[in-house]
Order: sequence, then C-alpha cells, then structure tokens
Amino acid sequence: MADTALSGLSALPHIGMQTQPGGGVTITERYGLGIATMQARQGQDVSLRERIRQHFLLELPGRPAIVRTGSVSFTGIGPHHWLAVSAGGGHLFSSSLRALVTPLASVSDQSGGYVVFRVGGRAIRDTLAKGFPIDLDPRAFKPGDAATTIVSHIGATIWRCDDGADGSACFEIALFRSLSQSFWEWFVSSAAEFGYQWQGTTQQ
Amino acid sequence: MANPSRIAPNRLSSGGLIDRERRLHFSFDGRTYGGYAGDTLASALLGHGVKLLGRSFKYHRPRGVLTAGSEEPNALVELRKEARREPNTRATTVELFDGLEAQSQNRWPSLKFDAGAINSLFSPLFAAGFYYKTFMWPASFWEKVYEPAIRRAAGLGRGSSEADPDSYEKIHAFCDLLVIGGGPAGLGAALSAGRSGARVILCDEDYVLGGRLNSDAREINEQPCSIWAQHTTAELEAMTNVRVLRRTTVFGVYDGATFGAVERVADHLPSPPPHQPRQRLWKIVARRSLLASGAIERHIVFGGNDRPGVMTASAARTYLNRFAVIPGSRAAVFTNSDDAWTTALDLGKAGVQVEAIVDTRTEIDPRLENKAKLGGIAIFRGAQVLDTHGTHELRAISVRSADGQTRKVAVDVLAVSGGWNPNLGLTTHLGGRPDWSDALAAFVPGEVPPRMTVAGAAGGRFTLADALREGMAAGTAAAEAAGFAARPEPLPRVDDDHVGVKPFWHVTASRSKAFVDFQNDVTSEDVALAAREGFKSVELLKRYTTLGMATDQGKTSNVNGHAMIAQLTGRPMPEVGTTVFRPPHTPVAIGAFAGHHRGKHFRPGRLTAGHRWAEQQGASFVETGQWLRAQWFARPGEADWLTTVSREVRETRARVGVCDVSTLGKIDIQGTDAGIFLDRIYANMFSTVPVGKVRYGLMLREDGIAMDDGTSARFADDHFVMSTTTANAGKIMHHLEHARQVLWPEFDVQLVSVTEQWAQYSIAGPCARALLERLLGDACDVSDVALPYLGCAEFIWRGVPTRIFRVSFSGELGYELAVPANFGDAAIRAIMEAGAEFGVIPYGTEALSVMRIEKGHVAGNELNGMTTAADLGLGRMMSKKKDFIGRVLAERPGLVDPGRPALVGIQPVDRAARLRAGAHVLAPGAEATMENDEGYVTSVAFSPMLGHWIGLGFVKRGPARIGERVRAYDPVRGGDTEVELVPPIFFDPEGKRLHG
Repeated sequence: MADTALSGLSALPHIGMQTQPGGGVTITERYGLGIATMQARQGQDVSLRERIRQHFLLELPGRPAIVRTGSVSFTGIGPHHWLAVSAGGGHLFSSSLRALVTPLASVSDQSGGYVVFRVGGRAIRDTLAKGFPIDLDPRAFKPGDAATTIVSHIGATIWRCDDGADGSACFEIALFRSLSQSFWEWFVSSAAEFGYQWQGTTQQ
Repeated sequence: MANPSRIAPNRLSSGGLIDRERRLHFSFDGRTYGGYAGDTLASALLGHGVKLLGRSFKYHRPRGVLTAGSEEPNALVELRKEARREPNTRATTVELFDGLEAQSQNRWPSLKFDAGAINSLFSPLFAAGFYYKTFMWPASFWEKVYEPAIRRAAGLGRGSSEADPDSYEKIHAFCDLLVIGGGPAGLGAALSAGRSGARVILCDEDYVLGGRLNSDAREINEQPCSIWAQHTTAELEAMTNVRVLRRTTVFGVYDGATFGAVERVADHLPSPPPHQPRQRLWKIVARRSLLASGAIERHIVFGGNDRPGVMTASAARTYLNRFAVIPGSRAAVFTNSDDAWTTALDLGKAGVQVEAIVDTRTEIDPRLENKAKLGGIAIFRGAQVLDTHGTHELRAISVRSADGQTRKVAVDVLAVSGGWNPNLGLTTHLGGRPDWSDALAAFVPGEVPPRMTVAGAAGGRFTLADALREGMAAGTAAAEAAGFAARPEPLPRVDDDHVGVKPFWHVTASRSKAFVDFQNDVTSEDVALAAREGFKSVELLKRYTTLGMATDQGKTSNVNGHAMIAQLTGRPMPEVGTTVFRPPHTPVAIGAFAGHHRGKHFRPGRLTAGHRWAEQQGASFVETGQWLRAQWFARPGEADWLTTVSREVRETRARVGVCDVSTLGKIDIQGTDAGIFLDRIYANMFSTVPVGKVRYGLMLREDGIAMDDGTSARFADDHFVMSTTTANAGKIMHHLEHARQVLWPEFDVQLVSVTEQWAQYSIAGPCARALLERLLGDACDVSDVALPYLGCAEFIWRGVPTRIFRVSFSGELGYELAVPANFGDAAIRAIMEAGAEFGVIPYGTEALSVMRIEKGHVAGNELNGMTTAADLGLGRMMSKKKDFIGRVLAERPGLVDPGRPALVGIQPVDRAARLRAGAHVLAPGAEATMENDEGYVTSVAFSPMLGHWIGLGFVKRGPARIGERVRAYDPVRGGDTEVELVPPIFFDPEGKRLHG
C-alpha cells in the first residue's frame, strides 16, 4: 500500500460557501492548529511557570485568560490546567511541548479533539448572546479574557481577540470536534437575522 | 366631541394613541371589522360596539372585556388558524394587525346562542367541591366517563395539534439595572440610570411605553403625560447603554439576581419576518432591579357583575383616552375610592352621558364632588349596585341608595373600582410574603428579592408624583451602586391626584350570582361554602374553589376572595394573608422555553470522524446518549435489519469486520501516582500492568455496586489511557475527578478527556491481522509475538501518531486502531481499502451487541446499577491485596448473599422460539407472583452462529443451576417461553479465536 501521508479533514468540510446576506457576522475555522492540554504535575506549578516564561517569554495565566507569543497561546481552562494552541503546529506541537515541560507537566495531544472557530462582525455579540450564558459586553469581557462555559448546551472555551480593523469584536471558540455540526446549526440559526458569512478554513 | 364614524360607532374622531392613517382589517367569529394601528383586538371590537367576546368557564355565561391589560380574566379568544391557532389569548393585549383572525371559544353552536349555558340552570351542581363530592363512585368511572365529560363541558380554548411552524430562541443579557415596567416610575428610573452611563434594560409588556401615562388625561411639565412618555422613550432608545424591550414580560425572578422575560417578537405580525423568531426568551442577570409594574384595579363582588358592559374604571378610561373608544353611551360608576371619579369625569368630557356615580363611602372629597356636580352627574353616597340587567349586554343597573331605596338606572356601561392592588407578584417568587396595608386596603410588597427596589404604584404609592420621584431615585441609586456618577435629575412637574379609598368588597344584599373570580366562575356563594365547610386558609380556599387559578392567576380576584373569607371567618386580613405567586407571572408559551432545542435538536448531537463515511455506506444510525452511531449497514436486497445484522456477524466471524468505536470514553491519566490511583479506582490491580499492556478492569460505586467496565492501557510508567463505556464516559470522568480532587488530593495524577482526540476503529475477525499488516506495513509489527493479546503500541503511521490495542469485544482476533480525529475519515477509508482483498465489511452496534452476547460479555444492560461484581460473574476480580472504592460496602450481607440472582445464559428449549429482554424467570408451573420471581432476562439476540435466540440474565443461584429448565415470562408482550439455563458463553467458549 502506498505510504503517503494521511490527509486531515476540517471539522465542517461539507458546508461549502454558505452565506446569509446582511453582513452581520463572519465565521471561520482555524485549521492545522497544534492543540494540547497541559496540566502541572503535583507541586510543579512554579517550576512550570518558570520554564514557560524562559521559553516563550510569557506568564501562564492563573485565571480564565489567554496569553500569546508569536504563534503560541496558553488559555487557563482550570486550576493548573491550560489549553495550549500553536498556529500551524498540527499534532507535532504536543510532542515538542511535552519535551519542553517534562517532568513538570502532563501534556495530552488534542489537535484532533478540539475545533477552534474564529467569529467576528458588528452583530457578533448579539449572536453569541443567544448561546453563551456569560457577559460578553466589552466592559465585562476584555481582550485576553477567556471563559470555559457552554454555548447552547455545548461545552466551549471562548476568548476575546483584539478588535478587527473596523472596530468590530472578534472572538475564538474552542469546542469538541464531534459537536461542531451542532454548533454550526446553532450559530447559523442565531446569526441568520443579522446575516452571516462562512469564510472556510484559515491556516492562521 | 363624540362623533361615531359610520364603521365604528364608538370610535371618537380625534385623540388617542392610534394612527388613523393606518386602517387595519380583522375578523372576529368570521365577521370583518376595521381598526387602526395602535389598537388592541379589544379596543377595536369595543370601537364597533362589540361587547360579547366569550363564554365563561363553567356556566357559559356571556362575558365581555373587564380590563385593558394582561390581567384580563374574561376576554380570552383563539387567534389565527390551523398550525398557528393559539387559544386563550387575551384580547386586551393582542396588538391588532391587518388580517388578524380571532374566534370566540368555549361556546357551541355560536357565541350568542350557546347550548352550554344550560349549565347555569344546574349551577348548584357546579359549586365548589362538586367534583370531589359527586364523582366518587364508581372509581373506575372517573378516568373513563366523568373527567372527559367534565372537560368537554367546562374549558377554555383548543390548541392546535399541528407542529408549530414558527421558531423561538433564547438569549442572555446582563445589566446594572433591570427596570420592570415602563410606566412613569420605570421610565424615570431608566432615564436617570441611563444618563449616568450605567447599563440598563427596560422591559414593558405593552407595545407602547408609558403605562398609565397613556391612559390618563394628566399633564407632566404642562404637556399631556403621554407626550412625556414618548419623549422619554425616544431619549432612552437613543442611548447605547440602554436596551428598551417592548412587548416583553418579565415573568419570573430566580436565584442569583436572574430574571426570565419573554419578548413577543412577532406576535403582532401575521407571521414572523424571515429569520426572526416568533418569541424570544430572555435570561437577564441584573446587579439591581426595579419593580415598577404598577397596580391592578379590583372589581367589586355584586350581583351580575360579570355582564358584558361592566368593566373596571381604569379600563374604561384606557379605552377612552388611549384608544379613543367610548365604552358605551350611558355610563355609571360604582366605586369605593377616588380614582374611579376621574373615569366618570373623563367619560363626561368625551360626551358620554354619565348617569350616576355610586360610591359606597358616605364621605367624599368635596373637590371631586364639585367636579362631578359641574358635569351634571348624579352622586349616590353610601350606595351600592345590587344587580345588573340585560341579556348579552348591560342594559340597566339596580342601585340601592343610602336610604334603602332601590332604583333602576338605564346604562350600557358600568365602570367599577374596588381600589388598586400593587402588581407585586414578582416580589414573591423567591419566597417573600406581601404585607397587608389597612391604609391602602391592599397587600404591599413585604420582603423583596435581593437587590430589588419597588417604586410607584407597585409599592402602594399611587400618585404620579410619587412614581416619578421614586423611580428616578431608584435609577440614581442603582447607577451609583454600579460605580457611575449619577447627577440628580430635576423632577418633572405634575398636578395632584386623588387616591382615597375605603375598603369595600362584597354587596351582600345582592340576590343574583356575584362573581369573585371571573375566569374560574367562582361566586360569592362558593367562598361562603368553603368557609362553612372549613376551608378557611387561603391556600385551601384556592384549591377547593379554584379561586385564583388558570391563566390570570387571580390578579383581579384574589384579594376580594381573601377579604371575603376574612369577613366570613371574623379574622383580620393580616391573619388571613394571601396566596403567593410562582413564575410565570403571565402565561409563557412552552416553545419559548425550548428555543432552538426542539425535535432532533432537543440536545446537541455528536458525530464521529467516520460519520460521513458511514453515511456514504448507507448506515442506519442509532442515538447512544448524544452520539449517533452506525447501527447496521444494510445492503440492497436485505429484507430486514435482522438479515443485515446476521450477515455482519457471520462475515466478521468468517473474515474481518470494522466497527467505529470512537464514542467509547477515553481518559488520559498521567502522573507519578497514576498506577496507584487506578488501583484505588478499579476493583482489580493496575499498578502491576507492564508498559505496553492493556488490562480489563471493573470499577465499583462507593456502595459496592458495579459501575462500569473497560480497559486501561499503559503507555509509560506515568501514563495510562482508560476506556469507558460510551454511556458512562461523562459520569466516569466526574467520578475520577472527584477521587483526584477530593478523596486523594495528595496524589500526583492529572486527568483529561481524550475521547474527542482519537478516532478509533475495532478491526475483528480471523483476517484482522492480515488486514493490519497490509494497512500498517513497516509502521508497526502486529505479529502475535510483537503484539500479543492485550498488548498495545504507539507509532507513527503515514505521518500520523497512531495507537493500536489488541483487545476484543466480539471474541474474535481483534484490534483497535486509533488516530487523531481529524484523520479519522482518512483512516477508515484506508482500512477499507487495505481490507478489500480480505472481504472486509463494516458492522454496526447491533452486530457488536450480538457478538458480545454470544461471548457472554456484560454491557449496560447488565451493568444496570443493581448488580455486584459477583452477580456479573466477575467476583474474582475483587482484589484482596489493596483498598479500592466500593470494597467495604461490597461486603454487606445483602450483596454477598449466595441466593442473589447471578449471570447465566438462557436459550429457548424450542429453538424456534423468540426471547425478549425484560422477561422474568419463573419455575415451571409457578404462579406469576413477586414471591415466585427468580430473576430476569437482560439481553437477548438472535445468534446467527447458533441459529436460534440466546439471552443473558440474572437468575437466583443461576451458575449452580446450569441445565435446569425454567420459564421466561413476559406479561407485557404476552410471552411465556420454556428456557434452559446454560453457561453465559455461547460461542467459542475456549477463546481459541481470540488468541489466533
């Protein structure tokens, strides 16, 4: 049998180019991400923070928040528990992260387990309010804030990115891959009144 | 001023908050009428002089409009047709739209001639407690005869039996101040808080903000008060920090400063615009809330007080001032309080002939009396209305004056006021009890929900000046509490109003039927009967008479009923008290609570990475929790599912089959204490499992009952991967987290679910190894030496991290191959391609189940929360060398009783007979009683390998009774089959195939 590399699949390969006129919100899937969960080993929290600080020059958040450097980000999703994401890192990312933090932390590859959607546009807060039970108002949820919560009965982690060039809000939502079809159905029913545009996948 | 138009005789030619440029057409009971934008259905019908709108619940009495708001008990109609038919809508809140179709309800054959009105003749039969006393015998008649008959005779409207064509949605909102009610207090609060920059949500159930400001001919800042409401609304709607929700009822207060509200997005339109829901359910979390819900006017209990044409005084004023509709041409007012005098004066100014003001009080504010005299209105002090006259509509009233003389006065409208009740329902949702105020003759809010303030009439402060002042103060306070600097706003200037009241509830001299609760047809006699029979508590009064039940929840009737029971039992009102309100404050459609979650979307669904591939193979799917799993893969020509499943089993056992097992729970367990942790979790030992090996494990609940089974694979000294059953994946994750965080926080263990990370396929059958050799090539050696039974390995295959486990549920030579889920689709296609030469087939969960029953493997049917390890035949797995969850309680006498039902195989003596799960086991000839019950059948399957039905079950001392014949007795489906007890492993009992 030909030993060519297996090709991966985006979470919603069959969506096509769906658009509802109105220009209210946009949605795209960040594809090819390296995703891993990282949990500090017993009593190794301080050493782990130091290791991450030295390597990535950033401070692991001790609360629901996201920190970034270059293509890598860490989001606090629980006590001593982070979701690490690397743009373009694929499944190799977890191996390199594990090599970096062993034996201070346990790393599990989640590159196939999570899907990350980037959503934005002028009506994005009104859309997300139909599913997220948390306050996403700019005064309450600032750039860099994150929350692990639910959206329309689907477990999700959401963080706020920097606003777009036009001043509109931008968020990223990580959820389990098997639920992406259900998420999509909720999203388009909620966004339809404002208009939405599916922008396919992005490698960034 | 009265200039009845040709089409709508009772409509004034000017005034009101209606748009005369926008004429709307609608129908009621098939007849077409005209109205204006801004009308309600009730105001439009009254404009045409239509007063008869419905029939009452029990007696089918003619009923008209009592109020002008959501408290309406009488004017309930059906709206729309077919799938959109909507019963029991209040005509007083229905916003008119062009093409609206409405029908009266609870009448036959027509509203004017209703055969059910004969019930009135038998009214003694329908008194309180009638059902309880009469329909007691024979008991079997209740469900079959009495209840259906009663339900036909008494009732409200008919729902549609078709699916609702509209959509509903839910939304969350957060604010510094939630203002409930957009009258003067609410507008004032929103204004002062909004100007400070605080986040404000203002909800009003009406489609025009202003509350009583739209119904009263008062002035604010020397302008009509409705103009002030319009300007204030416009300013609020222009603020980005203020959200104004019209047509939105806050219906419930919940813990955590959370409020439920329903927005009627498209109820006022023939059908929702594209992509808009019919209604939207708001969940609002507010730092502060202000209840500015106003007050509801009471009626008075007197003879014939339900006749169409009798309405509350405030309603008459609303129809006149807001809708420019005169409710009649000759009016009288019956009251115990000042406010209704304003109605008389306003009606007089509009050209209505006001015949009389009948006031139960002997002392009246002379300023009011002077104004009435100037208007030429006859005043009856210390007087009462004894009765009303007319058939379908009011024609006259009987007035008994202070001197005892009774005279008949011809009127076609009677405006009644018994005083005002603060609309305090929401203050009681968290358990607060209202307090009685003698001064106001009303209940006022007692303890209110945390961080809620009550302003204006809702708090018993009935003047306009009070409402504005309290509202603005509450808005300022809420803004300051949220950290905003609020400037004190200048108070608007208003004139004085009259709010005097003297309690009066019931005209005891009335001889005809006097209604307390219109919606439930509860009369003064019913209340008296309840008092005589000892139902003196208001809660018992409610249940015995139905006072205060149904769609209006007694908003107009409760206090009258409670005051009457106080008088009848000689107790003061504070002692009698009042019933409390529960959400929802007004009816909410179930659809609004469901939102998008209806039909198949009632919960999110989970799809495996191989789902689309399975769809392409023609799979039928089954819901397993949230997951959709391929149940079987039917081929053309296969007559039924059993044919398909039997083929899948035979071909898997003959060659090789593939099954998607991605849905099984997978938990990554890492840390230096991972092995010891699993020792405590599982009944059997795991710390001794070598790296590269898998072990089957059983875990118990703390109470000693078996909880779940599965395997754990060791990939490193400090790294295990646990598998759980699909159904228990979430529960086991919680269980493990509880153990890690609470029971043994000292362990170095980290847990994370990796169920979603790995797409996993079971490859089973004699050709499984050949397939894998073909598939994996040099990536992994799958020979029996390199990968023996219960071995596992990690490697890179075609650029992707891959895991393989040599485990088997089917009893065949079996492996599970796992790749990251985003490669799951590619992997299954590669497996099928590599297996083509071996005749590989996909099989579903049903074939998997048949094969595991053939092998006697327990699953969810056996791990049913009632069985022990020993019951399952797994007693030897309970380690004696270590402690583990469930060990101690598993030793309880009841759980180690050798007489307990234990796992055994079952097969029919007549091999052609069918078995059914759920059947109970009885000895031959034994009577089917609980005492004779010897066990039950948990799982059955038709075994294609044996050619007959087989089953697993739990039978008392079953393993010791192999060969014995018993009966599988199934009274539900009429089965009684002679069966033989056999060992639970039906196929390949030596396990040769597994190790092949």
